[in-house]
Amino acid sequence: MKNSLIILFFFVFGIILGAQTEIIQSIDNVQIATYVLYGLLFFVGVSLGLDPNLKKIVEKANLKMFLIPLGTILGSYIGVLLINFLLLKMNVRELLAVSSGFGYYSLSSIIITGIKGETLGTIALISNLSREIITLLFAPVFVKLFGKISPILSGGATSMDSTLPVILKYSGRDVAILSLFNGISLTVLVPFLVTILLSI
Amino acid sequence: MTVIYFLLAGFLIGLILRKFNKEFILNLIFERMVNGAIFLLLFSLGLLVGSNEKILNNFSEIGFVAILISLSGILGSLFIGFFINKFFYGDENEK
Repeated sequence: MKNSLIILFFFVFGIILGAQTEIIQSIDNVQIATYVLYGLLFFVGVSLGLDPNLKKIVEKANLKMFLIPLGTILGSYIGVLLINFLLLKMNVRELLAVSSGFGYYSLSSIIITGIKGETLGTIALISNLSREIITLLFAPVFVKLFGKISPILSGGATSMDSTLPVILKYSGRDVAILSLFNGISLTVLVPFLVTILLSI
Repeated sequence: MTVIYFLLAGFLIGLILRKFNKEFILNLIFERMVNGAIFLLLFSLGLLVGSNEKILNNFSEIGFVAILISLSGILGSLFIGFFINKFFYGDENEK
């Protein structure tokens, strides 16, 4: 919890600085985030290579792991359809397309902007970016309430990179293969699902 | 997908480092570096949001809808995750 508060503080501090300082706006913020991510994943890789239970980590690669990306897709669709029925009343195909980003905000928002225009594209950007941020902040809570596999599904496509370190920290390093597999599968599926949903 | 190469490069270095004092290096790298980098990542995500006019200008109109979509998607996934965890990975949790 304390860690999540510090994370939140850094995030809010970033927003304030990003919005107000002209000098910072001239720097390519997307590039900074990418380089930080590269460094982060490098360290995660080292820690996996060093793990005394490496065998246990590798053994997790079996057919069961296909359930996780399938569950992520199914769970996301059930969740958004339910809220749409109760509250949002959006066009169902547009709604499913937005949620089919599974956290991969850069690609999904670009595709959706291209097909459906700026408004839906920005909804996809905010929605998928917040999926990543919510997972980063609440991973420890998710592990306690829904078990150690759950933050992998919450992270969606980001479970292979940006949310991977947090997932490994709270779920244990033995879920590394599951998290990577989920993230890679969804990352590959995002462009297909989004395009198909919007063009049927 | 370039990220995966960094992960693999780190992994190989980790395998080589196994020959040395593992516990010490492991704790040092994982706890300190990863924690610091997560803070830095969130800070840079904050910068990204704060400097993105598309997000800031439209947030009052569409932010609510966007976050409702992400929250409901996350909750749906978490419930399915709960059952996958219970029925397919349950025995491993009891250890």
